[in-house]
Amino acid sequence: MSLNTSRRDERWVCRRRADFALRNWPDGSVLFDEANGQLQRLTPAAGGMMALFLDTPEWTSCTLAQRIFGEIPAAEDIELVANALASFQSLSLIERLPD
Amino acid sequence: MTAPTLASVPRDVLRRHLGSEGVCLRIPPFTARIRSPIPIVGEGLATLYAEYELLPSDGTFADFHVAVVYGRRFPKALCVFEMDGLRPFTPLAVGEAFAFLEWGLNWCVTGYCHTLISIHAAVLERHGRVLIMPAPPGSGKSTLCAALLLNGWRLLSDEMALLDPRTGLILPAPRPVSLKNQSIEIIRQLAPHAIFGPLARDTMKGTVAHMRVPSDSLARAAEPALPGWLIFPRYLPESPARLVARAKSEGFMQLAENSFNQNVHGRPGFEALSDLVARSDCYDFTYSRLAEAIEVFDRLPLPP
Repeated sequence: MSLNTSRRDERWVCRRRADFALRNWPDGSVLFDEANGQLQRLTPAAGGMMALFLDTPEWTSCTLAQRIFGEIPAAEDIELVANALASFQSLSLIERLPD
Repeated sequence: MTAPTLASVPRDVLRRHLGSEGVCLRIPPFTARIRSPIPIVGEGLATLYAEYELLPSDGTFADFHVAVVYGRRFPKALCVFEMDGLRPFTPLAVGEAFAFLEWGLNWCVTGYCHTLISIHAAVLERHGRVLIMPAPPGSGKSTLCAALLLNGWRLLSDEMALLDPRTGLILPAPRPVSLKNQSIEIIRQLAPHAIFGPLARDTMKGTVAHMRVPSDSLARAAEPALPGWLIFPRYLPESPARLVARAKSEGFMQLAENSFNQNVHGRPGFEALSDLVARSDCYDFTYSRLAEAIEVFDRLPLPP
């Protein structure tokens, strides 16, 4: 499976790290947004990704997939991460940086 | 010297005080000054709050100044709940006056006590760990709570968990257990010695009666405890008792939904609720027969 190169290299940033508090459990995570008091329940994988953003604010789909899945992530893995990042964006947790 | 209790006041004197300056009662962890000229309120207090500490009328700080007074008398006598002179609710029939006081006191705590995180739940304790059962009305929460407290569990509250965000402990707030409709008779049969207050008929919830708090639960009202179990009960007709592990992240979300003021506490509130969930074993529980339910709860393993 091939992945659109531009999608691999999309850059994402979490500018509001200070607003977020994250609690992880093996069965899932909960994210608190101090800016608006909202709570989000996240899958374990999404919780893991969010934890990485709270640690390091900027990632591409590819670097994030590498960190999660290993040195050379498969195209499917990168696609999975890219979809998760798009979901995070729709929740206003992260922003896509201009190319 | 032991503190005087409401039982030390003869009923006619109590009625007189209630009808004038009111009585100041220690209803842990709060103090309330209660006024009411309505006889059924005095009857309910004398029956259900007999063992609560009576505080001096003069110079005692009260967290809540509440009253249930007569509203209009014609064509049907109504009563009104007051807090600090405010009348936040529509009037109810005079026969519901004692239940109105109970509901009003709940409202005072959940609406005004924001040093603690309050969660709509039945709360009990055993072996030093707290069982929290958040559930919507009709889920059988209070019936189960009454059955458990009659079988060795200590009552912390039938109505709300009060979480101290600074310590992570749950504070006891033992008040009479509110039972509705068939549950009243079921619990009477289970515990013929249990003491009930006045029946309020034809309320929005049906028939309501309150059951007196066991003496031991009241005597230990100053003993908070650590959370241990977070269980979401549901009465399901003809269902065997069934306890199923629940994801902690789901448990957290439902706990937050049942909290009255978690949002007021911001990040410390989130951290406190998260710690509560982390310390607790989470389950869904369905049941139809109380005896089976009690057995299941007796076998609950103690969390680490």
